[in-house]
Amino acid sequence: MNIYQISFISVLCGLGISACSRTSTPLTGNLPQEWIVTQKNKARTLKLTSNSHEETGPDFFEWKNPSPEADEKIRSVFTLQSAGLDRLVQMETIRKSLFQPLHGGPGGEPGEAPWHLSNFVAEFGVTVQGIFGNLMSDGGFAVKGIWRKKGQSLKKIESNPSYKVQWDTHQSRNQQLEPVIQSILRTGLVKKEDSFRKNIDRASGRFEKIVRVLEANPPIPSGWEVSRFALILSIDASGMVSPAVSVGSELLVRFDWDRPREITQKKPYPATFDLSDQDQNFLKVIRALGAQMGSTEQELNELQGQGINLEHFHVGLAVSASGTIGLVSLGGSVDGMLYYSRPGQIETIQLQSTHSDYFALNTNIPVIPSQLQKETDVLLIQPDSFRKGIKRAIKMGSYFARMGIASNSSDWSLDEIETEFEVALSGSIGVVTVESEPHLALEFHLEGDEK
Amino acid sequence: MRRFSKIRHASISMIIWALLPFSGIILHSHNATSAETTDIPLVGKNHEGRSQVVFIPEEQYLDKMSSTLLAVNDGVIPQLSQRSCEIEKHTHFELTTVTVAIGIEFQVGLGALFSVSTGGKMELVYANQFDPVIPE
Repeated sequence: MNIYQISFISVLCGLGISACSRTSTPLTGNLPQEWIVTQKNKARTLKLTSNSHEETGPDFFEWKNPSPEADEKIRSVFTLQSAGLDRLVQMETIRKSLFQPLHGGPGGEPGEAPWHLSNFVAEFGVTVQGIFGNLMSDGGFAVKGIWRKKGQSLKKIESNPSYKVQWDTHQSRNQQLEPVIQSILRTGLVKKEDSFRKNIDRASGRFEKIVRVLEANPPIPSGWEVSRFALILSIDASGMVSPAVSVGSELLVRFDWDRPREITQKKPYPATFDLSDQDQNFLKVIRALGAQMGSTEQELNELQGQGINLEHFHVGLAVSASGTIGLVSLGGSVDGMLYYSRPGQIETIQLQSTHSDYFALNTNIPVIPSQLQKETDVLLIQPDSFRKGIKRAIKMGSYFARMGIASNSSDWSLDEIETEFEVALSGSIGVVTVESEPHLALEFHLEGDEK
Repeated sequence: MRRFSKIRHASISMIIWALLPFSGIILHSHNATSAETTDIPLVGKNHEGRSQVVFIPEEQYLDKMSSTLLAVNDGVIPQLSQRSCEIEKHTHFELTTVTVAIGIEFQVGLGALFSVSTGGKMELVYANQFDPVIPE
């Protein structure tokens, strides 16, 4: 008997703050230009083909720390969020309502399942000039911080399923999905039921196909392991179902696969289907990404001593016209997001490095640029370059974490920092700017004080 | 050729974005050349897709942030009881978490005021269960 979970996660409300504005020129306090993937680099990388690569110049991987002025500016942006939240706590009228039980919950009885403010999430952006600041509506975030009210747990929406159903393998996929379909139809937001049923079946079939391959991937020794695969679908009134990764759609359905804890190298699942060549290639990519991150243990251990723990990272996946699965912009047409966990975050059996490590570390990383998505070409990042880029990304991500930690107040604690990066085909990785789209996201957990 | 089993575990989630009508809050920004050292940058991209920076005084940002969060707290959350009952009545789902997204928007042009739109650049996460953290 297989267990699936369905959850109706959240109602999300939109509210806008508008502003009068004038354009500006950069001030001091910018991030180093080496932290940004420049247009020049992008132009060069797009000339690459699957059979060639370009030598990377020293400038690609040169490391520069931000200036003291930049440190001060960036720290002040984080501190402002804490200060704003502290001000709420200090306001007597708010304190009475914001952090204490507000209303009756589902049962309608006062005191039952009370609503209260739990977390605060703020997104920050980076311009191409390297200016770091609070993000406005247009543009993708480079850094996301999650503050938790001390004394309360962090409520992460996407990991909070509340409803479970038994998914019987003897039932067809349509039968298994029926409770979800019924729930969606009852919202009244989908007008064309037939079209919706056909499209959701097709989308769930695509999800299942990738998941079946993921389950065929036993944990890699000394590498990071795939812990989750997520596909977010947007549904419109006409029944259209399409991949979605950002806010804005009225109705979203999220499919999540979490790696079963019982999958280990010593105890794989019983075999039921054959892996095609494409499946095998997909597995190579999965293992290569895990192995690359696994090669950064020394850097991560040093960060751990500073209370900064890189626990997860995720990448966007897309299937090329030729069927190759590769990295794609997280904001582009994504066929799913692949989440990795550091060994120890999920139950795996740790073994010594093996030949599989060696091959995984020397596998090219395929990238499917959105510009070429309709063509058969798949671009490749050299493994050595990718590894250098990953190490730089960890340095950059941990920098923001250090700046954020300094913003902790007596009432709020910055618990998590997610930093998003743009990956150039040269292997160079830079903080994503408001003008670009990220390919890779690092998720840091910060050890704060608890009061 | 290796053979493997069918998928074992997956979860499916539904998210409904309910847009509520709100009045916009105006932040008066500065040109970079007149920005004070205590001003903070707001970054984004303009209608041409290029990087854009405006500066607002720190105190003004804090005031607007506080008043906005208060408006959300008093205006949105009270509606949740009714909304969650509706959801649970018609679906199999229980409403356990609510996220309120707050957008910060601007547009190039002198004196332009802007309509309300969805954002997601700040989020308030409300929960309906107290689940205290146990210090390590």
